[in-house]
Amino acid sequence: MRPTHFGVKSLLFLTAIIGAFYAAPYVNLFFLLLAFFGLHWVLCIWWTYANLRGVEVHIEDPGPLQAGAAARAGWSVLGERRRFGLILNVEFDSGAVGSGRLAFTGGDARAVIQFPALDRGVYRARKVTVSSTYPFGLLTRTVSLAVSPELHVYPEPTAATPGRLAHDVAAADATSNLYGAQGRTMPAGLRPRIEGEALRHVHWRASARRGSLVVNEWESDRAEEQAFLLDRRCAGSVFEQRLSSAAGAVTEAKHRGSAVRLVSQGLDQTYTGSGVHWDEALRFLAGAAPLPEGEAAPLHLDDPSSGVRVA
Amino acid sequence: MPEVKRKGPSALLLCMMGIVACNVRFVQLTGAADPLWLAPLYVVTLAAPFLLRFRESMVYRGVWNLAIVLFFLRLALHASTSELAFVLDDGLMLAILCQVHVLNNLRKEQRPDLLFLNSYLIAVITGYITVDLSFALTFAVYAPLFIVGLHLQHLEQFDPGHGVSALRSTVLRSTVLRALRRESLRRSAVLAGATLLAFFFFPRDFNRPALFSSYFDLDGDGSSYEVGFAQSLDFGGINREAAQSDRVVMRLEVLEGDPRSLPRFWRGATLSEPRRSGGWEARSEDLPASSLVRDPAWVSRWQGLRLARATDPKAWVRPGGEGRSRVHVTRAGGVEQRLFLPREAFAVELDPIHTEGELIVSSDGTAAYSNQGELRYEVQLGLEPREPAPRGLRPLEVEPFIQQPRSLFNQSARTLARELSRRMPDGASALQVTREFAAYLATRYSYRAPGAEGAARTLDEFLGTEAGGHCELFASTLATMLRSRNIPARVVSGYTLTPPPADERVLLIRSRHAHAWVEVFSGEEGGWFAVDPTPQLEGGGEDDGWMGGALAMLEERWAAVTRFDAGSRARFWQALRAFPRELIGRAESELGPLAGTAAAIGLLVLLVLRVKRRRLSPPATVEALNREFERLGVQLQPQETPREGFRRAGVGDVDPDQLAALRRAVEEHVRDRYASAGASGRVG
Repeated sequence: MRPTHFGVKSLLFLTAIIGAFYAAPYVNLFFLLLAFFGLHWVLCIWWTYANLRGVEVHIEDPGPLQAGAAARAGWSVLGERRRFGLILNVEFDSGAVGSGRLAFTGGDARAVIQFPALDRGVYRARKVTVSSTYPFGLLTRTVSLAVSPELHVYPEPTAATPGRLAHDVAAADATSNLYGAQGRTMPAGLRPRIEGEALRHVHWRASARRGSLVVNEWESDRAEEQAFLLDRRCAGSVFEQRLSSAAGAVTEAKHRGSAVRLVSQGLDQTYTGSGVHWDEALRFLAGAAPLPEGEAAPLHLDDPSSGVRVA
Repeated sequence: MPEVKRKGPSALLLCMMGIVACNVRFVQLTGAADPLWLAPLYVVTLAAPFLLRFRESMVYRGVWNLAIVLFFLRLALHASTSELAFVLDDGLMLAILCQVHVLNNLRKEQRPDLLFLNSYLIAVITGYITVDLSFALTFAVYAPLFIVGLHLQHLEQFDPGHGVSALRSTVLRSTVLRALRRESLRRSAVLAGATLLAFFFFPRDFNRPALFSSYFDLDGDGSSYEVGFAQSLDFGGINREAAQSDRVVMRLEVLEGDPRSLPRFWRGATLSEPRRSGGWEARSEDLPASSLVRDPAWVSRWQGLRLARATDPKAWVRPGGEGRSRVHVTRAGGVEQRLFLPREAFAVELDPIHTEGELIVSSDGTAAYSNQGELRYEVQLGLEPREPAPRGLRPLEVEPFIQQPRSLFNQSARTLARELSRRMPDGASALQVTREFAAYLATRYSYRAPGAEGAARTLDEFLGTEAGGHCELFASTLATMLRSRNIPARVVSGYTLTPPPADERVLLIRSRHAHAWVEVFSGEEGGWFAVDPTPQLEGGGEDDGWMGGALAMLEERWAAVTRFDAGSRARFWQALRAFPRELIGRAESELGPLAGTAAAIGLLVLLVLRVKRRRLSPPATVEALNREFERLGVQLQPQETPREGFRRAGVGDVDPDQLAALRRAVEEHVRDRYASAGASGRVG
């Protein structure tokens, strides 16, 4: 517990009136005024302590966060006891700090914690504290909490370029499959057109009916899912670019609700909404580390059993 | 969640307005500034919600800053011309102006730290100057505002502007404010209780001098003084303002006899020694500290009146007295050690609670108690003592009371006495001369309250001009005039009371009822008798109705606080220890021994049961909720929340009024239970 700026000023003031009290002859009223102010300090110590006594905080999992963008997560204080003016601080190993404020607790009160824009990586909280200056703003009490949330920050997604992949290129994108280019998918319905999609995919009749552009949505089978080959045998900006491309493929698949297969050294996993969630892929990308040149390739691209088709 | 659209001033602003208004009131109570100066400050304080909208305007801020600078210049000018005599008054005005300035110029991002601390500083300084009940009542308003304000200031940083959505619902905000208000008021009560406990029990020296009193004279004479009992008079230059105080100094309870027959003059000290400066003081023989007055007998040597010592050292009785009435007196504590007694008192008995001090009776019949602080005593009143005429006055005994004041101020009085004596027949008795002089003064000179505008400042001014004067000037003039005619006289200082209605058995004597009159010795009258030459006296014992009675009681209680000392604390302890015994004793005397004990035990059991039941009984909101569900014939299922129950109840043909009542009950319950109405803020 330590005094706030206001607390320091107030302490100086208290010292001054104690000095004045002794500099003047004893007067009952002066004693009463001094006692009131002094006791408001003494009780403030207890009340500030009591406001955070036994506090337990639940921080919601924000899921994978995108690099370079500020993020938020919900948090609440467990229990139904009323507490006022709580500030939650989450300090990460990297020195980044996220903070959130909660004016009062009790019942279903919930607030958000804001995280600054972070680079790609996995951030483990070094210290999670909740502090309060309630009730008088004279003292700050800070309590360390036994929770250590992890933030998975995946790289900023970039769009993968279909049909440009080669044997030694890191990413093998089958986005062209999305529109049934291989003739092996069936239309599954209509969905609003996404900015950047080719006009040839627009279902004009339905668009005219709805008044906004819609495109066909295709349902692909296991053999024709999107796949992304991530070769991690590189470093620096190339590695980050590959990760960004992979993140682009995953987020796009997540956005469309389609499956995406991510293949890398030691990893061959299909991510969907119903099975292994796309967020797991993003978490993998958040924590992915480059490999030395001598490592094996992630997959033999000429192996027909791999199911990966490179356009 | 909808954004809060605030209507009207925020709770914090209202709180700060209250604090600043209290500050202005504190300054007003000190009399440091004319109310005409303070009136605009009150107005500007109350107009803060309107004025704050201009706070970003340069012109607005410029005008405020200019006002402060101009006032500071005025203060400096005033200090240079009046030799710092009014520096405290001006300083207080500047402080309060700054408070109003801060209130009206506080920017959104600014914290009002200064306003809070400055407000308390003003309270402390003004509390040192004025100690009457008005200060206490104002502080009773100020203190909760201070505490609530600190809470609200704390909440302000969690406002919507700071990116927290917790308060963005209007319902939620009002719920938080309500909870906060309740918390802060509870804390105010706890703090007040703790302060009182510290006041009663914290060990301290009640007679502690100032830290540097041996180097500096910190007492000073002040720029004003309170009208009250004085142990000496000084007319060296009455250039200070006087404040009429309603502080209760004595409470008289008539135990026996007719209240209307109570004596008018209650003596505190006799002042027989003229001062060079034109005032009067007590003779060394009449001072309580002298060895003579420690004589345990209640003796008036001059009158030859001799009183026997009682067996009880706490009581003095004049033999042969015939009691007409009994009065119990409670004298407020303080610097006065004097007991106030009428000349008709023939027996005095201190309450048994006074165990530490010593009652000292002076040769002039006045009495003092060695300890300061509240004093309780019972007085038996009889006829005014009359002694047979002395066979002859011994010069040595007369001399002190016909001694002429050597002051220049008294020349006019002597001249006047000579002129009036010429109109009187030769050989007029002392009684005749006294009556003539007193009547002349009472009819020819007007009464002006001390410090009133146009009131005389000196004895010469009083006699030589049309300026009226107060009782001390009348009494001094008469005593000087009588002495100039060789009639023994002395000034007496004490309190007067106006006879109350017959059914009023409790009388309050206030500070402003202090009075000075003259006692004249006359062989024909059998000793000393009192004469009051003052034509008009302040009222006393007036009937103020129930409001006045309540205020008087508060004043009495407040006086007990401001005059609290070691003796008071000892009595408080004693009363605290004796309380249970007294309670049981009273119950036994009223109900009989067994019944009394049984009643006490029964009360205790009832109290325990009540506390237990309160703990076990559900909150009122839960009871209301159950009642509304029952009315609709809906039974809450296990694990079902009231909201879910409400939704279920709304299905089908339901009376809309009953449904609305249930909704209100659910909302109240949610608020009470969780201090919030949920994310949506409403049940629907």
